Amino acid sequence: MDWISALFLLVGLLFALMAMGLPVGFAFLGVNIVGALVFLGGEAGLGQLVRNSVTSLTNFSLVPIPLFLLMGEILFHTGLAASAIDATNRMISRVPGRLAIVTVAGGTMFSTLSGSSVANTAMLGSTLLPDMLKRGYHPSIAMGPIMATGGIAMLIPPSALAVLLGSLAGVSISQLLIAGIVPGLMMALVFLGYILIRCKLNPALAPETQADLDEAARLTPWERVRPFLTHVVPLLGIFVVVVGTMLLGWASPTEAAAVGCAASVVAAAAYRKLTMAAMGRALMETTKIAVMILFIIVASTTFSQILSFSGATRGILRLLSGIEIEPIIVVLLMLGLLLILGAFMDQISMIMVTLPFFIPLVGLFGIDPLWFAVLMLICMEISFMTPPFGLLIFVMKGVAPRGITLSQVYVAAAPFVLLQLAVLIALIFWPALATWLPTQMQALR
Amino acid sequence: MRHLTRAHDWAILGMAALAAAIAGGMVVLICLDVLLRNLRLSSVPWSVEASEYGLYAMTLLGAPWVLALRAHVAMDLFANLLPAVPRRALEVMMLALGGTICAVLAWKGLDVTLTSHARGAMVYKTLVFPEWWVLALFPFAMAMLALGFLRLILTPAANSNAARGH
Repeated sequence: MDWISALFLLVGLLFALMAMGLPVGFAFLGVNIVGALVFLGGEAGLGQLVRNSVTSLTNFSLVPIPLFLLMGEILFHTGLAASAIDATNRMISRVPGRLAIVTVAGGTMFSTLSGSSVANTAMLGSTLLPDMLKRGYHPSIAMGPIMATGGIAMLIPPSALAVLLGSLAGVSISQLLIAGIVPGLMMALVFLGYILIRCKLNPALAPETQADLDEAARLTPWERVRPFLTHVVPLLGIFVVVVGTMLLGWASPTEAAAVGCAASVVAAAAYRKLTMAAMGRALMETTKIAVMILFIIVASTTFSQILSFSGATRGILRLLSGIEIEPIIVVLLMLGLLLILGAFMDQISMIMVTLPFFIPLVGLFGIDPLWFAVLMLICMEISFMTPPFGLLIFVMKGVAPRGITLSQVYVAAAPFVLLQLAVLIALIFWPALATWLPTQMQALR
Repeated sequence: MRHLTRAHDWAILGMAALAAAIAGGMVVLICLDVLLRNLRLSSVPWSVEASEYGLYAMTLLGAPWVLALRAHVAMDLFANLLPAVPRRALEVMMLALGGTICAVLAWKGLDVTLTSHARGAMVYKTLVFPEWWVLALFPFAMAMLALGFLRLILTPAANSNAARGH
């Protein structure tokens, strides 16, 4: 079979099964069975498929995935995250779009403690959205910042997706995690600027109630700052422990993640919020999300091997290496493909389908793999919010009150998608925004 | 029949609880290793390997529970555009396909496990043990997943106790 037919058979069948609603992990397994029979020598290939599934996960570099998720879930289910958001809420007053600003500030803070965009969005949605809608905030200024800030969790460490991408792409996981900090903070600043300007120009989007103004007048500055010092600053210690130990090279990402989990438990105990029930819920929820991610890895690892074995990967590379093309154009084409795929696919499938082609292309055209991995992460963050299949759009719809329609959620997401694209463009033209901090990290060691 | 479905529900929940316990266990083990090493008391040399197997085990043990919750990532957008009857027909077809895929892998997984057992193959890393101990989990999980798909075909609402449990 020539490489074009092989490519169409494997990728076409995969897309067809996914589109018909077969869960993506099982779609990968189904295509792997066909691929093993055709390209890996029949029944012997099936045996190889079984063995590959086992080895795909016995990989220490993937261990931070459940642990980073667990960190966030512990803080969420023990109520520490909600107290921290509440404290942030109290401190910020008299700014246009106050609660939307609280969303971005609190959500970015929670991003430093949680590895999951879904958990971040669900937490912000369930704690702040009802308040905003009750005060008469326009749905677009209420929901947009929640989804956009939820997505920041996958850029700022700890990030489960960055671990996965780094591990599979052969990029240093510590460096990729650190490289996400500046772009993540840039996103937060751009979102803050947008909310401030929009709500200043049109205060009706985020009306301040008389009760809010009275409360702001009643509280002394110390009363506003104290909850932040007692409920937020100590939690940031967890971020310092996790990122600091990695930054200084004292701990591997896996060790940092485990220590981060232990620190979250200690924090919950210190605030007297550690209960068996909360820990049980945190562990079960972690298991659910981790299995959702890792099962796709079990299923899809063999897919890239079969693609390579069938000659499809080599064929595409041969085709592209024969064309006179600038590396920047290749980067733009790859990112464009990711954005298109992201509208229809989940993030892990996107990684698993494109990496077998992208890694050799990055090598062939001399593109910095760390920089490109950060750009990939931002594309995946954007695809969390692009219709029709934007995961955070559905999470938002799930936690939003009745009466909020899916199109309202899409409209709310749109301006923030444009802002994320602006940050992506900035990173394409100024790679140092992503690579400067990891370079400093290496100098520190 | 009711006893059988109840037993299946409990088995799925038990496997998920074990997966959650493994996640917690990995944290304890890795922290213990970091602590002992930094205090220069000792270390747990097998913690890396145990965590790797833990990751694999928790994924396979948790997968049938996630299926019962219908939480495996799926793109049902195109299917949702269809009217109710063809949508259900497509859903049943996909569930049957999912079940078949898992049944094929359960059969091949069992074959690979039994072959490894017959050959007496061993894993020689920090921990030394028969290879089939690791391999055996794969056909077991795949068989449970195949059963899970069958349940979803027979009970469309997926209101099993396992799904209701959380």
